Amino acid sequence: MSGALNTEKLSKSYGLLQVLADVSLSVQGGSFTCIFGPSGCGKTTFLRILAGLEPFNGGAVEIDGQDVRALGTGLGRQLSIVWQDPRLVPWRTAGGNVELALELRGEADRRRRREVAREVLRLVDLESYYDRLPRELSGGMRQRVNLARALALDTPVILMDEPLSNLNEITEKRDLMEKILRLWELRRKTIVYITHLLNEALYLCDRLVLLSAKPTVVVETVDLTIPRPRDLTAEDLETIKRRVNMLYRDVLV
Amino acid sequence: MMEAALIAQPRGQRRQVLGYLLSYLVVLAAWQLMSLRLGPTVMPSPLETARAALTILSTPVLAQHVPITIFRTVAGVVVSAALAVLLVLGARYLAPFRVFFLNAFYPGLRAVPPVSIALLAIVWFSLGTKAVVFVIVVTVLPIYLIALWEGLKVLDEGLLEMGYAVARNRFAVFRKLAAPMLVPTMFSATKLGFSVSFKLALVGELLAATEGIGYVMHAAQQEYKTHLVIAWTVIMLAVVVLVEHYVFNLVERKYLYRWETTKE
Repeated sequence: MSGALNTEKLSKSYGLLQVLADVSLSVQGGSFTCIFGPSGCGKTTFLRILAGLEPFNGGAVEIDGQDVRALGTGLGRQLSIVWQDPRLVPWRTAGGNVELALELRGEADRRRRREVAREVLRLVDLESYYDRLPRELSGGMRQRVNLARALALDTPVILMDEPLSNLNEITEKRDLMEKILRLWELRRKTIVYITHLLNEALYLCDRLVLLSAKPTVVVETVDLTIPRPRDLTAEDLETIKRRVNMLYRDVLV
Repeated sequence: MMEAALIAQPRGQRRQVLGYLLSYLVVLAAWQLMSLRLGPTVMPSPLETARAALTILSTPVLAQHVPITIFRTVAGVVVSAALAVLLVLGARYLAPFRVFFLNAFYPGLRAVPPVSIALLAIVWFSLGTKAVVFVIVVTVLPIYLIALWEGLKVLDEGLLEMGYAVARNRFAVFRKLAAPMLVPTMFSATKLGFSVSFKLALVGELLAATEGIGYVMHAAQQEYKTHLVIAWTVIMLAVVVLVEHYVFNLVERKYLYRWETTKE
């Protein structure tokens, strides 16, 4: 499983309001793709369609050449989600939340679940917080448990829906970005990352997909070959920023 | 400042205890006055009632009748809870049943008078445990139904969606997420259901049984032994308070604190 993702002329409407109009996109397996667009353009709807949580009106969505609608229950083994809000169950500990995902997946071996949960919490530097309840963790820590839960599922594709947007501290944001990058380099999963912040996208991804305002189409795709760690004030990234800003001025006007 | 607070604390506690004692003394004095005015058949004195309570506690009558009433109470609560789970899930997932449930079954059940139920229970089940449990179930069931139905409406949709995205199986999501989310709702309904069930067990036993506390109290009332009726009432009050304190409050403190909402 390489985790290649394709959408072909994907369209979605809510009654008369067309949200997505013929969105075609090709994401290579193991790549880090950021979907960038203005607020309210339908990025989250797009992600929910990819995740099979939202029906669509036309077009196709494929993972490794298979139609997501045909995958049925198997879709849960193809992709996992890092949610915008952590969506942790309050009555389970950090470790318990990760284990819960494996239980939901049908992993019957309790020892195995515990091992996996410990391993992924170690990857996000939360091993010593295994027995803490979500209310005992900071916002950043909860978001790291959210990330660990997706990692525990070990799916070829991980969808991330603005995972930094609920964090207030700039240090927590920076810390989580670094962890996401480190884990991507370590595990080479296909990451589709939704954001409305250009700096975040430029720092993280190796492919930037620019979406228009509603009805949403793909405006342009930018491949970033700049080595990491990236300096957001570097001239090559500034050039891209200027180009994107120009593009959006034109598109939005 | 700190020292003053420390000194003031025992004084405050003493005042509180004195306040309690004083309020009890006022109640007992009023009771005694009423007893003197109305006579021992209508209102026995506190002393007479205390003697009667001690007699009940020291004879096998207590061990003979209290377990029967408690068993009926608990059976009524358990059957009501189980039925409510089945009915509410049926209404949630089966659209035709939902219409019947919301428009006919639930409003109808809520409106049936307990006396009618008790009289019908005697006809259908004759005197005994089945009749008493039936009375309890028909009356306590709506408490569970409304609690569960409303509880289902306010489940955390975000968590359910997270679960579905992983499991892609609605039954697994219900078992692992929705059911635990409903535990506090069920707990509150059980707390209320238990006290209502206990009262109904006594009423049910009064009409439809030949043993149990309600039956014994009825027998005492028939013989104008009002002191025994009040003594049984005091004992039952103590049982309910003990169950509330040692069962419900303990479970709440030990297990339900984890359901507190996530705090920043």
